[in-house]
Amino acid sequence: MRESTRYLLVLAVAALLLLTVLGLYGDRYPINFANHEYVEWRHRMDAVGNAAISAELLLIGDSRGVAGFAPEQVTATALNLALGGATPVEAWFLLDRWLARHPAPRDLVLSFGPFHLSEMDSFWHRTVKFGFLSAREVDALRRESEMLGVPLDEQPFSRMLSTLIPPFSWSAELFSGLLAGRRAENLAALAAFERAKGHKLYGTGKRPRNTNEEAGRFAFEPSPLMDIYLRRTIRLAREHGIRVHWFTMPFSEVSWSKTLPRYRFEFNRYLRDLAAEEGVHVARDLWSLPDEYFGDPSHVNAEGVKLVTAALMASLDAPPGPAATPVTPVTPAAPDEAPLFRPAAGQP
Amino acid sequence: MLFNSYVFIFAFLPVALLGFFVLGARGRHGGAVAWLGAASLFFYGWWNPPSVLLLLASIGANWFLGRILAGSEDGRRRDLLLAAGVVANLGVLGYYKYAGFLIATAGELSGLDFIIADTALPLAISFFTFQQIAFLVDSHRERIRYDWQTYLLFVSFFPQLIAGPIVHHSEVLPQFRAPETFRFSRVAFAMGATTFFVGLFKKAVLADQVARYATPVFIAAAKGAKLTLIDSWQGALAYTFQIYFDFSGYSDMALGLALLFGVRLPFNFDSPYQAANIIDFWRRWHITLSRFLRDYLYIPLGGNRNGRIRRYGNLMATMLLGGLWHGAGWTFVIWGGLHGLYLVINHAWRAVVPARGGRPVRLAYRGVTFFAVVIAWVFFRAESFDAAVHMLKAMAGWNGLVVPLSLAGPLDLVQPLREMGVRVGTLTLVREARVFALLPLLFLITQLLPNTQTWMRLREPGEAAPREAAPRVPAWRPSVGWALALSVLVAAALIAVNGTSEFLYFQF
Repeated sequence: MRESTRYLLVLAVAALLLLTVLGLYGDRYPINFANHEYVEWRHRMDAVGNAAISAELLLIGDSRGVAGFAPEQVTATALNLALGGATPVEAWFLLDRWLARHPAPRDLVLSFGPFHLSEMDSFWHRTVKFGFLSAREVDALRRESEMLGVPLDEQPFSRMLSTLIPPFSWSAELFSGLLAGRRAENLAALAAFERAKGHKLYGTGKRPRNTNEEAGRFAFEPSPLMDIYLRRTIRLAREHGIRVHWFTMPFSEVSWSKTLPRYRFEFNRYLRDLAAEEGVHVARDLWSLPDEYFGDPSHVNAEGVKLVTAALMASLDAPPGPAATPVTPVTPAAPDEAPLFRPAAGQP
Repeated sequence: MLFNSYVFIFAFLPVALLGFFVLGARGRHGGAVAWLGAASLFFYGWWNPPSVLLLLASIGANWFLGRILAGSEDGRRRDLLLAAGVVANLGVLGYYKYAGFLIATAGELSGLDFIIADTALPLAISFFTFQQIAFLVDSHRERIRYDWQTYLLFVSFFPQLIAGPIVHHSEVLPQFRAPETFRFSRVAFAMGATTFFVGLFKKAVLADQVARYATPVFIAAAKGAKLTLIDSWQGALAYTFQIYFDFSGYSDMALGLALLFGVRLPFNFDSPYQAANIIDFWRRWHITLSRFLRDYLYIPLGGNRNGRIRRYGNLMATMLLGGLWHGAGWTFVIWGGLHGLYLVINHAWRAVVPARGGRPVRLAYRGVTFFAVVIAWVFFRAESFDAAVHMLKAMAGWNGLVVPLSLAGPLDLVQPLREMGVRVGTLTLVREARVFALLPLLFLITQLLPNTQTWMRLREPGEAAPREAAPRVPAWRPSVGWALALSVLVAAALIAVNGTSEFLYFQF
């Protein structure tokens, strides 16, 4: 064998071995190097797998839900299982797994920003990468999404390499996280999640000037995939006798002022249809709070979460409507939005 | 498609190589050239398929004009054609790259509110425009002729298309005609693959990691945040090393990729932070751009032929335009102007102070040069003139010194420093103590280690043997030991690739 050929072979085999070892390590010990988003997802995955935890009230949603509901501020046994970047797809898997190991809660609150009923912006780099779904589940979801005409993959080759093959799935994070010695920080964050029963604040700023994802969008268009999974989640809960509520987290005033009336109208109409067709109790449609209750453009701060948690708890037994439970202060709904709700059919 | 993406490394590149060498082995050299040209256009079109049309139109028009220039005997007609060709090339570049900038400037000066159409800047337009202007000028001088397939490949050859080196036709086109280029060489392949992965390591592991410490500081400066002395120096130095390893990495990857196809490209990067003065710096940083500016701008302007004052004027004009080449913005013009000023001072110094001095003097010169380069990078990176001034003020201590807790804490220096009246606290941006180890480490790498072409013993086009290197520099060999050592680097590079981090020079 020529020298150059042997060199290339040794180089390739040795690099492959190293990649395999790193890949196996990454797959086994992500808590040692992954970023803070992983910790949040890990907490949810651990909670779902831990049969010793129980809750009368579960909240499942996206990051606005993570920040907006503080279970430690309520008297009921509650748990916040919202996931940053999640959509109803993750909600269904989460509830299905919860019910497989735990008694059904009395109440389930679903809370997603309108944006997360239209787009899956974190599916590959969180849901798949963090191991929330198995390869088989991803494959099934991929087939389902293709049938619906909303394919998950825009770059199938890169996706396959960077998310499904272990050495490449953690990529730069494995490297930088190990160098930064992120393990201690992550374990502390995990313990904080456990203490706060899943609640976490994101931004700590005052009066954010930037707007959220929905601001400036022309029309609300739910994704067929997200719509199916949202309805599937509601039906699964109702099959187990769970009361299902929808609670939209507030927009900041600056975002609210930049959200087109058409967008608000279409989203609220979607909720109204959902209430009528699936029997979900819509506790809150779109609403807003003053900017000082926000830590960043999308998430409430420590003051905001007190208001929102109280509003959420008060609204659970209230009749449905755009402002069923008064929250002070609140921005009045635009005239084209109210009244939008009628009593949900078949609500337990 | 990015060099630092899995789709490029594991899909595009193997297919491009396979097609090229299968056709080459069957003696279909024209087919191999056409294949590589088509692959290069596919590579270019990956970002924005319609922009391939602009590239093809530019290549077609320049090739056709080159043919007319080479065939024409009428001197006046040839002059006119050349002038028309240069103006047309610069016109297209100006339209896409500078129209918005010029209109916005005119609006600011006149107080009128012009509406500017949003025109996407086609990738690499600065590079392929300069490359073809050089071709036209040389066609006017020397009557050169190439077939269109080879010419298309010369301009679009993907290893150099996006961010250089700015290749001269005489360096590359003969290689596309040489039969040995189409024969697969294990040695060239081993060298090419190694050089490529060394570049990937520099980009993915070093440049992208250190970028995390630069970007937030410049963003904060743009927002007018009150940066401390350490914050601002951290940002400026982190960017200094980010752009170094980014461009060095890209240059290595370009050399390595070309070598995989049996083609040698000119060197573009030669340990510039080891330069002893600014003249030396510009012989080491973006070497092919410096060469282009010298041959097609500085010398035609008169170079150093008309006295010292004219020479300095020509230098300033060349560097100002060189700055503008990098981007349509006043910060780039100031960056170019600063380097022009540095060069003028350097030439004036040389005229007055004789070149002598021992190692300490050379080290001092090197330190001053590095400092001057860092200051200029602030303008290059800053989002506006105001942001750059804001950064420079903070770097000068305008906002005071705060020793970060992350540094003083582990060293038990909090109390002693406070007793000395030094503020210790949490800085706005320096949150990880490891930056204080990382930046000196990167500084040492740039100062002490040899560049890739030296230890890989690479050759430029036309060189019969690698250049002599210092005896202490180890030479790469295709041995098992080298393979095992470099496999760590390859694995780290592949792990660290995130496929979304563009090279800084892509924007130019």
